[in-house]
Amino acid sequence: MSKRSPFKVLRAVDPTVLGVGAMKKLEVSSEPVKQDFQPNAKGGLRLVNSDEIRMLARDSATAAMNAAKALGKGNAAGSPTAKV
Amino acid sequence: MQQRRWEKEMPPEVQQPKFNILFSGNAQVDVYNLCEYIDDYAHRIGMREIGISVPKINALFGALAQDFPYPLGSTNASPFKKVAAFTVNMVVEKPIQQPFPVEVFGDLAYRPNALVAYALSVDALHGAELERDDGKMVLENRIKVSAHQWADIIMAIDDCTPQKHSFKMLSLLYESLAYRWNKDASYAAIY
Repeated sequence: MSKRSPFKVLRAVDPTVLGVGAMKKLEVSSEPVKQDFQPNAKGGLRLVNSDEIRMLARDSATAAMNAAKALGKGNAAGSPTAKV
Repeated sequence: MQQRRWEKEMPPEVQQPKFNILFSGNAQVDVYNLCEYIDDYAHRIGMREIGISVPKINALFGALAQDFPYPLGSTNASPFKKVAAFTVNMVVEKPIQQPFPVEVFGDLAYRPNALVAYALSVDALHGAELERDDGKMVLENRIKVSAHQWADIIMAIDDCTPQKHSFKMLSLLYESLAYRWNKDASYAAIY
C-alpha cells in the first residue's frame, strides 16, 4: 500500500534518552474515514470538517502571535521585524 | 442537522461532512485531527518542521478513552470536562517535542503543548452543545481573553499534573470563560 504525507511541516521524532531524535516524514497509508458522528450524551464539541480544522488552527495561531506581540514577547509573523 | 450561524456564512466548498473536533467517537480520527491542527498551527507561525511523538499522541488519546477523569465517562461529560481532560493529557504527555520560535512567543515558546491545547480547546468549545435541564444550548460565542490573561492561562495550563485536581479546576476555568461570552448558557446565579 502506498504511503503519502498529508502534512506540511509535521514530522515524527523518536524521543531518545539524549533528547529529540532524528525527524522523519510523517506518512499515512490512508486518511481515517470521518463521518458525521455525535455520540455524546451530554453535548458534543464543535462539529468540523477537515478544511475547517486547518482553518481554525491558522486563525488561532494568528491570534496567539498577536497576543504574544501585544505582550512584547515576540514579533507577529508578517510584521517587518518578524524573525520566523 | 441544523447549521450554526457561522456555518451558513461559509462558502459551499467547505460544507463537507462534519464530525466532532475531539471525542469524535473514533480515536484514529481524533489523532489525525490533532495532527492536522498542529501541522497548520506550526506552519502559520513560520516553522519549517515541527517534531511530534506519534506514540505520545496515541498515549494521549488512549488515556482519554480508557481513563477519562470523570466517573460517567467521556460520552456523558460536559464539553468543559472534555476539553479539560484533553488539555491536561496533552501537557502531561507532551506530544510536541520541540519549542515554538522564541522570536514569536518569547518565553511561552517553550510551552508548545499548552499553547496548542488551549487553542484547540477554545476552538472546540465554540459551537459545542450543552445539555441543560431545559434542553440543548449551543455556545455560539467564542471565548476571548486579554493578552495578559492568555499568557497566564498558558503558564497555568503548562503546570497541570495528571491528578484530578488539575482536571477539575481547568474544567471550571473553561466553563467560566465560556459563560462570560455566552451568558444565556449558564444557569441563573443564586449564590
